Amino acid sequence: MEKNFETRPSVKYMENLSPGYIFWVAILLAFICGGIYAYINQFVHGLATTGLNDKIVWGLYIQNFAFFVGLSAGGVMVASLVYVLKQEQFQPIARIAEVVALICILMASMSIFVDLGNPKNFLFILSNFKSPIAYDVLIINVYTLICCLYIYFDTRVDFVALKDKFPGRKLLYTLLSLGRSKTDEKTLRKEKRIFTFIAFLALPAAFLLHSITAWVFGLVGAVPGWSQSIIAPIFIVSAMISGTALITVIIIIFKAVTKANIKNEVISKLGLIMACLIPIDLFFIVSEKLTGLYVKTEAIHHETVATVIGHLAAPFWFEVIAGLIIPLILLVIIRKNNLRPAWIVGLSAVLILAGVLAKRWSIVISSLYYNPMQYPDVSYTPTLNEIMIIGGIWSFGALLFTLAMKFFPFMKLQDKKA
Amino acid sequence: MRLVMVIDQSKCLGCKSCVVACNIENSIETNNNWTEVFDMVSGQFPNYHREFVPRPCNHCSKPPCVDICPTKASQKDKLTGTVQIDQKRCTGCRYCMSACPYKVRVFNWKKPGKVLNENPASPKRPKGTTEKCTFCFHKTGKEIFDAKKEGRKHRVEYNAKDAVLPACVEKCVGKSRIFGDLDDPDSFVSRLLSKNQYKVLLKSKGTKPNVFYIN
Repeated sequence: MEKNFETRPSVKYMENLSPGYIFWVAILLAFICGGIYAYINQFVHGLATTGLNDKIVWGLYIQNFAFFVGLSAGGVMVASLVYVLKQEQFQPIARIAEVVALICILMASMSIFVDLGNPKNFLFILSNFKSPIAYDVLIINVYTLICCLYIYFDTRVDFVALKDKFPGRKLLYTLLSLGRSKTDEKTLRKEKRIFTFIAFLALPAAFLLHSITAWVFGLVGAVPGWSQSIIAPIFIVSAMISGTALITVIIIIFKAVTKANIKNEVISKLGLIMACLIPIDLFFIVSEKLTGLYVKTEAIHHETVATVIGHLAAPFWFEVIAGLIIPLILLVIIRKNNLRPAWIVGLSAVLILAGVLAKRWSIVISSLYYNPMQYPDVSYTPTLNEIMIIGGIWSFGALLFTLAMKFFPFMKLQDKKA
Repeated sequence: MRLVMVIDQSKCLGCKSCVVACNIENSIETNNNWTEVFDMVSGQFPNYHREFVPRPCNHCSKPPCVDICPTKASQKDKLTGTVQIDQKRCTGCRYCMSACPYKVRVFNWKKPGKVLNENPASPKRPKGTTEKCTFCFHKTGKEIFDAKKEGRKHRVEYNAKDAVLPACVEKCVGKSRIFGDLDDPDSFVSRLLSKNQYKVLLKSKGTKPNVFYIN
């Protein structure tokens, strides 16, 4: 086994700390400190520090919550390409996808927590099972647990191997492998069975997670932009697109930084997945907006007109043009040696991420502008305090991944069958 | 018991003294009004129609805010049939505010400021929780609960001399706001609603509001 270990991917990048790495961590820490300061400010002075008001009650936090949940669900869907759909070529990126899914769900939990006006009553949130939010909190917890188990059963053997490789980090890897160091064939076979079960469980859990998040909006009859039957499919497709896009971006950066053995074919294939999902998303968008524009039932027609040609149209068209159509053209047309060049796939992925973020704004925030009574019109602009908190959460996620690069075996060290 | 409000729009002057009365009774600053009076104008002068629509909380019989509240802070009070918020449970997620079709609810975005001549009986208003019109539960509800505890029969009768009414009803200049128990067939509101045609706000939302407008 030891011989086998040496031929496996190098773990050299895990050892040394380059100045660039330290600088990057310092920047992230600075942003996190800014976020903590802003949250304390909000905690003391109340949500008046945000740009929200009595009519537009949800803003940047919930927009990002929906975005992170989508990224997380998308991450699990990419990982399940390998274990559920048996696409072995994606094996090198499966672990990155799993870890990204876990980090994103943590970021989602944080952004829903900072949205609460009275966080000390947080534990009451599971008392009414008629409320979609109660189910959402429940599924987020279950899903986080599934993600942890998924990663644990996938990497425990490698943690054990790394314990021998880095004697100085014995405590860390003993903790990560929960003290279990057996690597005999029987244990491995048993763990493989548990892992396969969890991998199959994770896919429906990811679907459920994002559907319930969609229904948190979709079951509110008072907001016509939310209460549409198509909202869960729309959320699922944009979760798959944005999750794939985020993993593509991370993989391109990861490959550049660590010189890991990830083939260009894999990146090109990820581009293909995105190119296949974009038309589905466009199809859903067209069927939603066409119904709203053509059927003149008052509420939904008014809402659709406002978000497509009215004063709230900017995020919608940004999403359609910059987030879907331009990436689709880039991914379909540009080829080099019969592959999509990595920078094209990366650029498309970044555009898609920005587009999905704009879409979340359009769904979550623009819909709340609907005003059936005669209240004076109000609008919402995020304040610096809100942006600092969200920046802190983004940096926290980035920091977790950056730290994981130094101790987590993203590339499989040894085959479990061995 | 089903406490309702009947609003006779033909008697409303749009003076907003109900808003002021409510703010004094519940010690609210002016930017957090629990009740509003909409001034709706349709048409062009000289062919136009103007009506005032006072809007308290509708205390719906099928309240979406109660279904949707994850903490059970929003509750339908069984004895009076009104929708009340338990501030001790509210975690400030503001889901109910988006679920209310009438956008009745307001949020304590910051710690409520001091009001001149604060009413000691008015409900506590912690920072970061949702609040709304209670039909002056601290007055009307107390009366009903006391009566139940002592085992005596209690009627909420608008015309009675010693009636305990919400502040907006008490102070309404034109006697446009009328308050009572719709489950009691002899009450003034029951008789009013059986005699007059009435409408409710946003009937299509299916919330079965308990504030009725007659003209």
